[in-house]
Amino acid sequence: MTKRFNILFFVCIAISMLLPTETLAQRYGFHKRQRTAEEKALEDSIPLFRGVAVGTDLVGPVMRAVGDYGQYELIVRGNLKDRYFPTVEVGYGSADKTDDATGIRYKTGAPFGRVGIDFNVMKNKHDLYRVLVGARYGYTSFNYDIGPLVIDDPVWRTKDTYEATDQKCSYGWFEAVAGIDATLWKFIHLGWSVRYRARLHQKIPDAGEPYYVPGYGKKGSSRIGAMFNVMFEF
Amino acid sequence: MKLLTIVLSAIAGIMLMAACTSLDCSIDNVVAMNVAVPDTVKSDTLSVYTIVNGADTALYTNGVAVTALSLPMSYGSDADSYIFAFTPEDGSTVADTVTVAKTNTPHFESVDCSPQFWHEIQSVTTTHNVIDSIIINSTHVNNDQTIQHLILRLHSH
Repeated sequence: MTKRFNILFFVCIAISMLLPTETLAQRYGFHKRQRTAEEKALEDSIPLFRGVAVGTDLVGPVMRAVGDYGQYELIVRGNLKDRYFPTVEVGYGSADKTDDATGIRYKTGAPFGRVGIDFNVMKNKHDLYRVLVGARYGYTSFNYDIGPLVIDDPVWRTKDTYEATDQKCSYGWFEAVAGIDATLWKFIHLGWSVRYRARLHQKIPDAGEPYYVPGYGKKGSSRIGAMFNVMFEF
Repeated sequence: MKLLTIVLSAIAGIMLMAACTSLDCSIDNVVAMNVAVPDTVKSDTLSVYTIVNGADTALYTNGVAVTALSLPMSYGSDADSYIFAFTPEDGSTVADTVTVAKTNTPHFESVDCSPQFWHEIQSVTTTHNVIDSIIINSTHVNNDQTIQHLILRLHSH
């Protein structure tokens, strides 16, 4: 069941990756067509700074609303010659999860930040579509609480409290980003990105590694995340 | 069409993210103090007890020629007492009481995983009927079963 489920997801992703690029290739024929002198002139004449976009991710708030963890974030993205997009992402991530089987409760909430840059790989960089690849460095410093949970000692037959509060952590990570961005209407942009995350450094307390890291996600689970962005470009 | 493409793509991405989650509990979920007894005579039997609510509770029974054993530690007590009962071939049992002072730290792996307490051995005291001395080889008691914590040296027979 799980294997079939995963195959279905990979097929979905593969189709979704093909859809915009195939449409664009058919529409503009940029694989075959030579660039005109006008296009070259336009490319050379545009200013370095093309504007700034402000937006947010919609996946994090939905996950927080319907699940046990998630995040709210603000994205600020510069536009340099329609090719380079230096990006700052700041937000607040939180989790409050109690497992039904073990009864353990994990609670945390803290701000996080990411900085990085995206690169528009489209041949016609002025197109309404952008295909972006890039990287981020993310960092957060936070505390987490575990429990309280009363558990039975099976040998000594005592009841003991399993609890750890204000466990201080810090976490730094790298993200490889790939996604698309499209102009929906005038200055409104819509896009998504898939992110591969890898931990670079961490400081963990005596109680152990965190279950959820603000801005990074669940520790030890999938390293792949996704964002669905609404951006307002000025 | 453009909007539909982006929305469908985003949904597929989110589904992929959800599909890749996994459970991350370690395989070794037993926390125990590992004790080496290198001087055991091959014909001796060894049992280990502790006192719970005034009564003996067996932790390890009638091991013959035991050279290593694992003992549980209490979740919340500052010190645990273990009674090591040695029985040679003639059937006369001689016991020593070993008291291990320790800290108790809740250890967290994931909300999905069983709660654990890890310990730091602070000191060990013993009577000396059979046991000559105890060497603290490692003070960290956790779910790593390869660590030897105490080495019991016995009087020569």
